[in-house]
Amino acid sequence: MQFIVNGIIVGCIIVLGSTGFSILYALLRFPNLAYGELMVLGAYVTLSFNMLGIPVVIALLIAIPITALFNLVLDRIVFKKLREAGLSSLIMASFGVGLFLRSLIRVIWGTGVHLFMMRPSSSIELPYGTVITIPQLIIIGYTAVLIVFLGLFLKKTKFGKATRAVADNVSLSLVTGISTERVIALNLMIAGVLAVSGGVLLGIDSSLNPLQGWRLLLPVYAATIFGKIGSMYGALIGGLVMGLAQEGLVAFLPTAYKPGIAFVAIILIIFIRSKSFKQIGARIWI
Amino acid sequence: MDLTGFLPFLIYFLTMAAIYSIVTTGLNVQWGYTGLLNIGIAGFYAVGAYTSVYLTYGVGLAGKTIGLGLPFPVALMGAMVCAGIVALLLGIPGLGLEKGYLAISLLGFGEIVRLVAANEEWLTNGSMGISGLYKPLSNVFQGISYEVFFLILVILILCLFYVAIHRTHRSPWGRTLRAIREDEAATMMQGKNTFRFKLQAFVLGAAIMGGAGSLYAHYIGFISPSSFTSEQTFLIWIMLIVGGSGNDRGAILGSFIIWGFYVASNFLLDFVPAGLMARLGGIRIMVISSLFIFMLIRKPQGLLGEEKWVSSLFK
Repeated sequence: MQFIVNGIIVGCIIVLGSTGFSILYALLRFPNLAYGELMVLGAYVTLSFNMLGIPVVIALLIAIPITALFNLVLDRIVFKKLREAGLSSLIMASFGVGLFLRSLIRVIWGTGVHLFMMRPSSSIELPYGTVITIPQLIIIGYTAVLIVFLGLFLKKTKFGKATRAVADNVSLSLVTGISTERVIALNLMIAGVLAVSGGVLLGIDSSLNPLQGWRLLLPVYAATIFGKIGSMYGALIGGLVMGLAQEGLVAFLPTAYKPGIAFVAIILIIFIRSKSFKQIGARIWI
Repeated sequence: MDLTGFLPFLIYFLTMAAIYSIVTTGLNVQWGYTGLLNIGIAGFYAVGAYTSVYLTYGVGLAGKTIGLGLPFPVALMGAMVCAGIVALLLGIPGLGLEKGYLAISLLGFGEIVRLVAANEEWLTNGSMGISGLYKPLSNVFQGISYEVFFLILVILILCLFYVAIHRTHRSPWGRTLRAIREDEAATMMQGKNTFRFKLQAFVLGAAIMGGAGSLYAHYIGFISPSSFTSEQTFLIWIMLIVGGSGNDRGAILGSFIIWGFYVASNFLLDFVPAGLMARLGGIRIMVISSLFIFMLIRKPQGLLGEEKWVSSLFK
């Protein structure tokens, strides 16, 4: 039964990633293949502060604005210039940006495995011989709080409404006086916050290495299209399903195939529901 | 640098550049002409390489010789057919999808091929790879003359592909592909079965990539999953984007330029301090990917843009 606990933990990480990924996908209308690397880059920035002796939580709070701004700058340097160039250019550019970020991580922090410096934690025994550690409980709590806040933000605030309008129809929102670029900028920063959070939780739960981002991208993508692009509930459920599937199936498959599970899931989702995948229906639901 | 070391190096450089040119030509059929976003190139390349090894021979798990021992031309053909069949199986469900989904499915395909190659040891000897591959005509040519022979062989095959592809691109078939790239709906309205054309281009491109995989395997004499990563896929993409997508000569030019840069950066290894050496690989990829993004933004048509073609009657 331990896989349920592990699956939910991994699921939380994927949920944070796919929520941010999904918002960007719906707003900018392309899958940002560099998103996994952004998550891990944020975690590495946190790690750098952590290595100076700052506790992980405070290091995360420092890294959050850095990553959010970084994502905005990245968009200004690369993706904004390609917005008119079409889907293919955007996808390829994000592929290139992803590789750039992965190499950047390799150059700065090396190829080795890094761990956050944390106090040794105790664990709590659950029924059926399962165990959950205190950091894992924090992961679940943090994800829940962040997702609830994001949901409220998108549903209740003016900016949230504007975000949904832009995702629905860019020209129509321009006509109604919404500054679409400002909405996009804010959401890029939100996606940055979600990315660094997901990355740091991953680092807390396991460890960091430069390849993690590449491995994260596919479950995140699968979770996003599981629900449908732009759907917050979809990303939430999709992320948990992907987490449970990855941890559950490992019992039957060699561990090395873990990343393959996400790929198979993507292909299954696309082909089973292939009708709805012949075009993007961009919208943000909550 | 003494000249005796330089000649083998030059031959190595040219051979690899020519093999990359073949892969890039394959991608040009898919992306440059038809607009199919294939980011699973390494997968087709790997299918070709491994097929070719099984059709000839190599030393696999626990030093056991595997393979059917067929001659090289059969293996090359087999590699192309096999990669083509895989492309057919992927293309039938995949090519109807919206661009983004096709891209991610192919990305997934490439990664699954690599995972299988890395984990099914009975088949591929895992990450240890298969060594001692069959070298065609190695009993006739020895030493440096063998290297020259293989270079000529690869260049001949490249020329063959180039001429064949260049001609098909100028045919009505090629025109239809470009029409699909520009406006699929309008092409459909002209009564073309666009799906079939896309499938043909996809399979043809993949077969060429498979052929290049076969050449690579027999040239290097060793294959392992680490030769078929997404970084390889990216390298092919940048070659085409720099050279000029939609231009057959551009594909070859781009391959030589990027591979030249890749190899030249190895020389820097002699000059950098030891601490930086391990990081040079990362810096190299950073430079190449920056160049790629720069080209996409500033010069998406590449160094040699697509040629405008008119019928020879109107020249």
